[in-house]
Amino acid sequence: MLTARKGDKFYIDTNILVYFFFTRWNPDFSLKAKCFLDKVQKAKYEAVVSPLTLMEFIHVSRDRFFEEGILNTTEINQRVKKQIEFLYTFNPNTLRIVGEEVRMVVNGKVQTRRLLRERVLDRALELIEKYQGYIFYDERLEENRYIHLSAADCFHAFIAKELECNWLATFDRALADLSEIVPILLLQDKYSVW
Amino acid sequence: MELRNYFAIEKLRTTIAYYLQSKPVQVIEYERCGEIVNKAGIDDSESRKTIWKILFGDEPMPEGKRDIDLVEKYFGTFDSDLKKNVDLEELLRRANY
Repeated sequence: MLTARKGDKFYIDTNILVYFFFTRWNPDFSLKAKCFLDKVQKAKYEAVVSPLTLMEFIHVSRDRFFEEGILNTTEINQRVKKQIEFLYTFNPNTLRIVGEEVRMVVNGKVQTRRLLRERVLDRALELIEKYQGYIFYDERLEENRYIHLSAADCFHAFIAKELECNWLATFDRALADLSEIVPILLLQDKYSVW
Repeated sequence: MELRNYFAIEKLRTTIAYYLQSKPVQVIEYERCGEIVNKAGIDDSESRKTIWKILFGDEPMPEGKRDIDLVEKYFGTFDSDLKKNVDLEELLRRANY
């Protein structure tokens, strides 16, 4: 059973932010996302948001506002930006917002690291080829779903490893296949972070 | 180890972790499975500004707060912007996320 410990450093997958800001799509996941971010805000955990997470978040959030009936792009983007602005007001000592290059303190020395190293595209391709995912029946949606890795999922894992995160936190079960790169913590699992 | 000692150590460890987490840049040493782990600290003081500039240009960057009620305040904030009485099942099906 995987359980996080106080002081652990998490890489945040996009779906955590999506469920936190949009609460009526899956209220159960939303509550768990809230509980997790609350622990980050209260300095129980440290969490990292990368440019890739932000890019995906902007994309999904635009879709959500559109699907909910907002038909003006300016209006949609103002709302999305408001959400990102909110992220900037979280505890800056525990919610890290990193860019492509990030300064890290390792054994008392400051290093600048790039989030993605060379050959990550080849390695991502290897991973996608290796893990073919699985099909399951989703009782909530009453249909079969195919859970499998995306290119972005692989890059999230590489970035999390580069940032020396203890976990990649997500609600997406497809990412479990990436545990050979970085430990994956599924927030929907009962004892993951509570 | 006696249980009361375990809880005393755990409490001390939590206090130290909280103190260290509250500093802007740090290397945190903590115990995992009986061995001391040295965790690399992230200094995002510059990178968060870079990201802000990409997304917001010259708009002033908000300051982070250690307000413990912040998460509660933002949770579901955007629900009030959304249409009422939508077919949620249909939305979920389309989102497939």
